[in-house]
Amino acid sequence: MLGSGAVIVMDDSRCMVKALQRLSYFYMHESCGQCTPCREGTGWLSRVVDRIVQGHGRPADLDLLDSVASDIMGRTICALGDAAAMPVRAMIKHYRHEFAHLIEHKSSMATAAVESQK
Amino acid sequence: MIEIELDGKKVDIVEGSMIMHAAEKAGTYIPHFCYHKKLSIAANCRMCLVDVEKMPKPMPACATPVTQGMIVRTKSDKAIKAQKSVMEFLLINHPLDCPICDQGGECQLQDLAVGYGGSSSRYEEEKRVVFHKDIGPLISMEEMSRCIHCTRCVRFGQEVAGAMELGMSHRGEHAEIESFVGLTVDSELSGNMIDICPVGALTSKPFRYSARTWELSRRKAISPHDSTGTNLVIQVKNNTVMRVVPLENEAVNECWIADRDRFSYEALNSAERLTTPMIKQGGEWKSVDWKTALEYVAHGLQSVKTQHGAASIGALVSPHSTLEELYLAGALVRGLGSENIDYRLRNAEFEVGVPGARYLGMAIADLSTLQRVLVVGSNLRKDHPLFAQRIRQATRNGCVVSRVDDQAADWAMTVQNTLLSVPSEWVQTLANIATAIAQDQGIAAPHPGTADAHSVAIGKSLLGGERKAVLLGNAAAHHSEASKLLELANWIAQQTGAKVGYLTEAANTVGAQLVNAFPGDKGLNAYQMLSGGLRAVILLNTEPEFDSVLGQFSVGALQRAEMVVSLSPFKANMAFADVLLPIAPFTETPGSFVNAEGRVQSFYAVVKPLGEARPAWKVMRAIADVLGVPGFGFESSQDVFKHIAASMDGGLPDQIAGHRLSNASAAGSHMASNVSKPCVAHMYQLDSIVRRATSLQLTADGRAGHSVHLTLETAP
Repeated sequence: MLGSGAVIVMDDSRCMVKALQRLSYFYMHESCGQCTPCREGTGWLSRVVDRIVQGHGRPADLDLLDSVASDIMGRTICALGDAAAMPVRAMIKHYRHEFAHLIEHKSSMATAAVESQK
Repeated sequence: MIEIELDGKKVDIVEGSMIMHAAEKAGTYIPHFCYHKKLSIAANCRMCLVDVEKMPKPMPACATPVTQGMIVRTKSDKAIKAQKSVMEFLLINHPLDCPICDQGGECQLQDLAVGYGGSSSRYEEEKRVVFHKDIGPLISMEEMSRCIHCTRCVRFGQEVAGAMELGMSHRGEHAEIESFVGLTVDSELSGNMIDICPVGALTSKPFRYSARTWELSRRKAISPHDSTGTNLVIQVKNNTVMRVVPLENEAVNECWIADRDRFSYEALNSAERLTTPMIKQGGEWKSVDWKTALEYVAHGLQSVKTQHGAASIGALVSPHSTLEELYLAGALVRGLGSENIDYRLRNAEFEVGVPGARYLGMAIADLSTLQRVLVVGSNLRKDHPLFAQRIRQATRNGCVVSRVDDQAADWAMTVQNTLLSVPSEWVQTLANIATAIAQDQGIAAPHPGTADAHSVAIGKSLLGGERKAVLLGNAAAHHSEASKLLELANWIAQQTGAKVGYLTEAANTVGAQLVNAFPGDKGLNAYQMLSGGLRAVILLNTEPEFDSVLGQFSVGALQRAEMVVSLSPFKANMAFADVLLPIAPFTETPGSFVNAEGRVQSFYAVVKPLGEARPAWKVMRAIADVLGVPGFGFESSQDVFKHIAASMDGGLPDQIAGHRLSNASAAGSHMASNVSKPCVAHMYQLDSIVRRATSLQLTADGRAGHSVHLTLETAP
């Protein structure tokens, strides 16, 4: 049992930052608002990822995202908080270079790769 | 009992308790917002996360039951880290402008942010803005961006006030506290939401931005309104009452107070206060000094006494006055040779040879544990908000509530049986219930009646259960057949093993009886005095036009009297009085009240009397001195109290001795045959203070009270 949307297959043409933007928006939208870490934290995560995608990210944002996500984890009433935090932490762990590229060049690494193959 | 270890300390605690309870017992403070000892547990603020051994995640202390041998650390790195991160989340969308917030200085979020908050914010995105709401004249919801969604106000409404007037709508970040499509919050206990709100989201509208909490001195007082004897903390600045909040007393008001107790102070600072003695000369009111006023009063009383005899002098006193004032009023009238004194202005029948003071018949705290209760003639929720609150808690534990009344008012609790009948049929209605019980028990009924289905249901409910009571409300006490109602209530109670109690109308109804503020054998009762039996009338803290069963019909009789002296904190009774003497209200005089259960509660003045107003005990001492009435050599209000205690069999201990209180039946002398409906004051028209409290008058209940209900259809 993995739950809905637990396995998503993406090829390397997908921008992982944009994927996280969509995921974080989903969790912000789904949060019921009952308990504090999830109500406040999911919005925070989503806004920071949004800002990075818009090209206004800062290098320190990556550690901020990881720290906020770990602050949500394990402190909420239900598992939605954990579910919102896990992809953020995992993406930053495994695709940190994509985030860093976007912050530095204000454009997606995946787009650049696709462009160069043409 | 099980034992847990909390921060290395052993704590014994009842099984089923939460870690928070154990911490309270051990004296350890765990930071929290949504937890409140009188409300259900929500565990949604997550501030109380603590470290529990063998648990991978931090656990909320308010919602984690203790288990044998549990090891809890409230200050370990894991716990502190969790608490700090929750604090950061709470603060990201909370405005960080404490200096301009009305709650500043008494805000739990502000206090805890000192210990758990960071020195700067990591949040740089846009903050949430929540639109303000208007929920009536008492509670301000101007700054809902400050709300931290603890839902205490919502749970208070559901569980204590009995009506869910505030709720949380929308989801996630858009969640906000609001009333149902713009309705106002009309609960009679609504002000408590201001106290339990941990932040500046719900604040007191009348108090807002008028003072800072650290500028206020806090002084204890007792509420002069209903018979609960609510313990208050009065907050004072520059000799002015700025705000009233509850003083916790588990045996009386728990941690709640009614809006009437909380907001009535507005009248004390109003322009309607009388600040100098006044005399009416040639139809014009003239301010005079005390000496002139007292001599005028003494001369007037003396000349009425010489011309018409002492029996034409009388005093109508308020059961909202202190024990000391009522005693002195009685001593003054009796010193002049008259027996005419009465506090029962709203009564239509006057009992004679009463065996003891009418009272609640049990401790107030016992109302919370009743299993069966029959309430006769009371709009319980409005007349006695805190008694209703206790019975509401009892219904949550299965108490069966039955009532006999002329209206099926919403009590915001489950009322199993409602027997509606017009007041003139209440005796028959009670007789029917008695008959139902008699038939069930195979005994003779005390009064002929028919056991219809409703009566049988009420009888059956009263025959079950263990802790039960028959409570007589204000309408039953002021009923024209009050003594018969009591007799039947006593019979029903005796057969079912219930206690009988009068809810009693005012803060000092029991006290007034203890100091004999009612006429002796030869004296006139309130009804006789107000229908024109007097030539000189002393009105203590009362307005017969609004406070008596005769209502506006009393005005004529008072106008015909040669001398009417009004002792009131307000410019009252001006249509018929000859002299107005400004007396101090409850905040400006020391005194004592005896509440419904017979608890004697004394208090000091919290501010100095306004203008030339003086405590009523001093005013009466001065009148007695000018008149030469002996026995008024009191140095202080406490002296008067000691004198009353010494003259009383059993004295005046904190709880009046049982033999001085009684609800045993007595004969009644029936006065007003044209009273179709018992005279019961509207919630916000109860006494002269409440009547002038601006914000209370603007509430839905206050506006409803403006339409004066005539009790008498024709002039007596």
